[in-house]
Amino acid sequence: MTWSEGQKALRESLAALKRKDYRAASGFLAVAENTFADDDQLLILREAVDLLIAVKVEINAAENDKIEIEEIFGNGQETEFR
Amino acid sequence: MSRLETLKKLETILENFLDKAVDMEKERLETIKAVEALSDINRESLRGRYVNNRLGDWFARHREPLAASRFSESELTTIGNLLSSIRSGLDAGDPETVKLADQIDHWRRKGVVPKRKLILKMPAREGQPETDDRLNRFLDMLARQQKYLGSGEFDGIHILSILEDTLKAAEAKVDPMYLHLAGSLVYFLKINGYKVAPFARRLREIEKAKSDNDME
Repeated sequence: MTWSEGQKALRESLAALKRKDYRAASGFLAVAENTFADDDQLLILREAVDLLIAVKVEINAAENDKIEIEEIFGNGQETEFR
Repeated sequence: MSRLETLKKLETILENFLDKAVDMEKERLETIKAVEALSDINRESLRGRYVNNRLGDWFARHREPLAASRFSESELTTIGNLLSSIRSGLDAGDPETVKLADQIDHWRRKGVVPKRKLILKMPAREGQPETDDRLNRFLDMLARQQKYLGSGEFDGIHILSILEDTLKAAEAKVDPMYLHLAGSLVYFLKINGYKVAPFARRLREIEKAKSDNDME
């Protein structure tokens, strides 16, 4: 990976963070890390993004746990959902 | 506080942190753009195109090389390499070009210089047979070039960028394979209608520098 490719990945990651596309940002940051392995700032940024993604996954799972599925019967017969 | 509420609070904290981190990275983003713009200008210059206007605009936006320590050391080295490459392609036939060359020299005086390369020379091998199987050596060189190009490193990269990398390798390394490959790429581009004069010139300069080193 060349320096300019690493810089490009970093730029893409910042743009993705601005539009709150955290998964894309994480991917670009992983690519940028190949070039800037010693950049602590970049490392913290990526760890924070990955943590946020994990938190969002947990929130999604916790919220889905709350949904109760009810079967609806009309006139004693099962109604088909589409 | 429930688990869900804790998670949502953590989510908000992380999102706020990242918003602020992106704001702090804005300046770095500007720096990246500056280096990429100069890299583009260099590519155009290597293709034999007129770059005076774009280079003039670039200098207008970045007047002082070391202002506010905006650029890191590695970025300044990259800029130094790019400016050096662009300068070698400038045709100093008019005052505007001379002015741009002076501007590049000004940056160089301020410490923005191309990275010096350490060249390790291999001593001549003793006991080589007087007659070599030259065809096999040629085929071996072609095979090594094919391996180099097919390593995956250059997947999706434009052939001009590959030539640029090969010329850099030819300059830095003792292995003549890179010189041979660079010459082959230059000729391939030539027969496909590209303007290759700047590349051919660089190749000649590298060859000359190497033969001068060999004579020392």
